[in-house]
Amino acid sequence: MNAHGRVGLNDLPLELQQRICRNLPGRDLKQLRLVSRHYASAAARDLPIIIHLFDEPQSCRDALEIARHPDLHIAVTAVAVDVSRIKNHKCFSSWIRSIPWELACYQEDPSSATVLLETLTELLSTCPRLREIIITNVYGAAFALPYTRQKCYTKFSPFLEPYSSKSPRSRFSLQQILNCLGPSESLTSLTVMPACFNNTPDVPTNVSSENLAFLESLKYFQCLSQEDKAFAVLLPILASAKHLAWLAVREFARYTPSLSFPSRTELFDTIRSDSLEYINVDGCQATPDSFRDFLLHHAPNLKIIGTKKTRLVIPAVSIDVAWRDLASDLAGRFPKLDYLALEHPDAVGLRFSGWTRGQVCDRFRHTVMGRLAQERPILELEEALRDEYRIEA
Amino acid sequence: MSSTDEQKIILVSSDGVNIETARIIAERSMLIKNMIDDLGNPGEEPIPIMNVSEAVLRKVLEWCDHHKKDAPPEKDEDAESRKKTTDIEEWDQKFMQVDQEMLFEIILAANYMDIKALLDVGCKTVANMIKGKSPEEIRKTFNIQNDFTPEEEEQIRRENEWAEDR
Repeated sequence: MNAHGRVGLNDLPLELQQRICRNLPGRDLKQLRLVSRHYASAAARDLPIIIHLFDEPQSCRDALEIARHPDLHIAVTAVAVDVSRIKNHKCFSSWIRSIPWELACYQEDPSSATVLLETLTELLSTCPRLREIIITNVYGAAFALPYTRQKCYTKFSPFLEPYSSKSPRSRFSLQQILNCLGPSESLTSLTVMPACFNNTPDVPTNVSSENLAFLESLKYFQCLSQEDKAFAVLLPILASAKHLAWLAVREFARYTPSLSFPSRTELFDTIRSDSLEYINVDGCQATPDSFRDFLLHHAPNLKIIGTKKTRLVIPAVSIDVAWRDLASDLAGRFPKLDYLALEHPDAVGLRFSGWTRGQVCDRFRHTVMGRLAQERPILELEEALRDEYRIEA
Repeated sequence: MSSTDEQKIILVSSDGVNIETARIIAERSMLIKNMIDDLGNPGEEPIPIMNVSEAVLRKVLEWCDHHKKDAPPEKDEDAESRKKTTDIEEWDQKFMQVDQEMLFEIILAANYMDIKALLDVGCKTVANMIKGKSPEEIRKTFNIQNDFTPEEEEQIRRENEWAEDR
């Protein structure tokens, strides 16, 4: 009761005060936390906290402070792990003026590499609502996946630049980062942005199979422009993610030595989820058999299929025939499919005109779905989850 | 209309007042619905609503009457997946235009009587009263004492920097 003997906000049980807080955005929760000691604690658990973790000592200290905070550790929902070896960035000399000299010494010390890994491990073991891990790189963070990019914004964001194969190598392997995810049972979303992981033999190369409990809960996976070695590490992970609902794989054309997209046939051979509802595959080569079997295996649950710049690896036939045959194998097999996007279909080694391509797309959609699918944009994962899309078309 | 819908039951408020209402209206409350299911013979025995006064109970029943044809309440959503929104439909907004004491009494009653949708409307209404206000304005609105030392307040400001605004 307040001074007038009336019921007020203070008289609600904590559970109801927190229920009110669930409806407030971060900016208002921050104001509410400044009202009194009680509300500093009561409003803490719904603060949207995304931790940005760098190979840099202060960010690790900050992260551990949150992980050990009695209220705030509950509020952490995502961690963006930036594996950049920023020491090698061409702008490093200019950063040094604004970043403490400690960083330079830190990056010179090989033993300091464990700090980021141990910090990530502690975050995963102490933050019960940590759902999402984004493995990123200041270079790759400048890429597409717009909402993920927002989560990668950091104090280094003025220095973001496009990733390339010539970007400096991280001092971590992808395996080292994945091993840290280990026993987390709350993780539902994993994003792997382009990053020059360390592939040299002096870093661990195995993903510990007993350390992958998170795969039981993993529902959303997306990766962008992965080197073949990093992709080979991801394959066994994805093979074990039996309840994956969302898969987005995007690649860019490479000069090897001619312009081509990477082969992802093994991806389609590997993934066999019992819950896959959404796929968006962009810029991959695959054999028609592999792609077909992958789609047919998941046909009962698939609601959305997006393929862009997919090149079928098939002995010389016309492109029209390659995609037509695939369409007839898939026709009428997707009871829940609501949306099918097919853009720039291709076949390796063959060329055809934009006009023909449009015809192939229309015919493919019509054959597979029995109708022309309506035009709807393929949603980004973040966008979909934010709007409570829940993979429902 | 089925006979169940036409059935009348009697609720007894915490201050001892009998209120007759239709079973379909009262069963928006899961507490009452479960009591009726457990007791059987609805309408024969008055049902005590121990923690809710007559004025608040009548107000709650007014809400239940308006929403009696709504879809049955779904299982309470996981707290993590709840969308942050304070959208409230027009009728509910007007319904919630009451003084603060009644507003919090309604929230407490909705919680006690297990009426999730009314509880949500109440919580969103309070959230709307907090939105856009400074800490001092929130204190004034809800009559809250500032018990921070300057050092504690500075610490909270520093912690807040870790969180996003969205």
